[in-house]
Amino acid sequence: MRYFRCELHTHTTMSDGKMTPEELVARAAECGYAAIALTDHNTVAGVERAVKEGERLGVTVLRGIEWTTFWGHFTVIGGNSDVLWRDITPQNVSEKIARAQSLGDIVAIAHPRRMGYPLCSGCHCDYDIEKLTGADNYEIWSHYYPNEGVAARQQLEQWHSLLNRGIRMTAVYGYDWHNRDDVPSSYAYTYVGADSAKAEDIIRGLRKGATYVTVGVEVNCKAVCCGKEYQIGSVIPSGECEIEISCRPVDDYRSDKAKELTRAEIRTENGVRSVPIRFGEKIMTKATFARYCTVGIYGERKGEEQLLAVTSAFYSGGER
Amino acid sequence: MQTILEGQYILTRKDQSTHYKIPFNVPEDAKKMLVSVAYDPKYNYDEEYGLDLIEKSMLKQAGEPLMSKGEMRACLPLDNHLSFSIDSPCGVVGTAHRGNNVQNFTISAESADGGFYPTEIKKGEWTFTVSVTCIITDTITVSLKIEVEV
Repeated sequence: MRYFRCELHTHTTMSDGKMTPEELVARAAECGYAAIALTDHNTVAGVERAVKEGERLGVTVLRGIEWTTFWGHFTVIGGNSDVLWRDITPQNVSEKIARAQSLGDIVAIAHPRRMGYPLCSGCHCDYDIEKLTGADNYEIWSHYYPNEGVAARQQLEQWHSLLNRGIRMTAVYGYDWHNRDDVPSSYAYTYVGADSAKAEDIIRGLRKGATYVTVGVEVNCKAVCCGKEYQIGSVIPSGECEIEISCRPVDDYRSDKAKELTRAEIRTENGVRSVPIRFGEKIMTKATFARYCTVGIYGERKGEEQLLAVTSAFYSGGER
Repeated sequence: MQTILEGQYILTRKDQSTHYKIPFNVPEDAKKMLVSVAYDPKYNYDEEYGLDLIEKSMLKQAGEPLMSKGEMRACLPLDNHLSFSIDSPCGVVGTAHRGNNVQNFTISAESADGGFYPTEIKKGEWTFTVSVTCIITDTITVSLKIEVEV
């Protein structure tokens, strides 16, 4: 298994994007993505064109849609769902998510804490979060400047709060890619752990929760328990393990790059602990948890210490 | 071309977050459908109203300031946003979700644009749905014209 650079939230001229499906895929190829999901607002009209272009250019295109409802947005990946966005209401949203999942799709809560009405109506998640706990993924980072600002902090806090309660939601980034972005503002990647970049393997990796999000730092992170290695997203039976972490800069990251790392933050339901780490260094640190353990990588970027990468969780107890 | 629907529809603030359905009948032997839709106004140029609405909404949603006054001012003028969907007697034909307040679509069995799927223009009752994503003026007038090529 290896980690593939993916973008799971994109748009084309079939909704309010500025690129045609072919242009989006060509741009994704230029930007080094192994896979993208096309998630136009409330339509899949561009999907087959994008898939075809992806086959030509060697970029996997995952079939998707963004349910763009009045009360919140969801990216739905897999291309199987028969749920009509107009039918989703605050009362039935959990059933609609479950319906899409039962047909094989993966549902992410998109940019939940972004400003909504009157600037971007529906962009802020107004649904009762208790109705969304069945979703697979949570966009902890979104759009430009993903690791900065109030919305990013609030999303991270809400995701941690869900994990603390034992709710297992995979962390993803959503570029919410609408424009060509020749000189992009600060942005991030979602890396997905999979056996290959084929659509079915990327979806399997998402379903397993094998992801991390990053602003320009490649993270190698696994748990080791009783001589056995566990990837991000795995359930570790005993909840006691060594976390192995090493990082390197993403060579072709086009926005501000981190100068150096400062620390790795090990977060469990018991609290937060920091361990020093530098680029190129491999560290091992113990973690004991009953519910979850995530790793945050901090470093110096734009003249301050920033959170540069976040892994999805390792879990303890039960099954995924 | 044969015009099968032409009308104006008034939306008010009460229509925020609702789907306004406009049924229409398609005759026999239609090969292609042309939809022209426009709405007005697009913008609300009242700066004081805009800043006040952004600030109140921001505090309600985030519970703390998300942006400075200068950043809020850069978001003005606020604009209305409507999405358009079409359903045929056989099901969903697609949705157009974009910011423009003047949009034209062409749909036939062979091709379609703007977020719609290639669809046979079958006889029967179809529905044009206006989804009111954001209304920040007292009213919006929607002008809709649907033609078919027989």
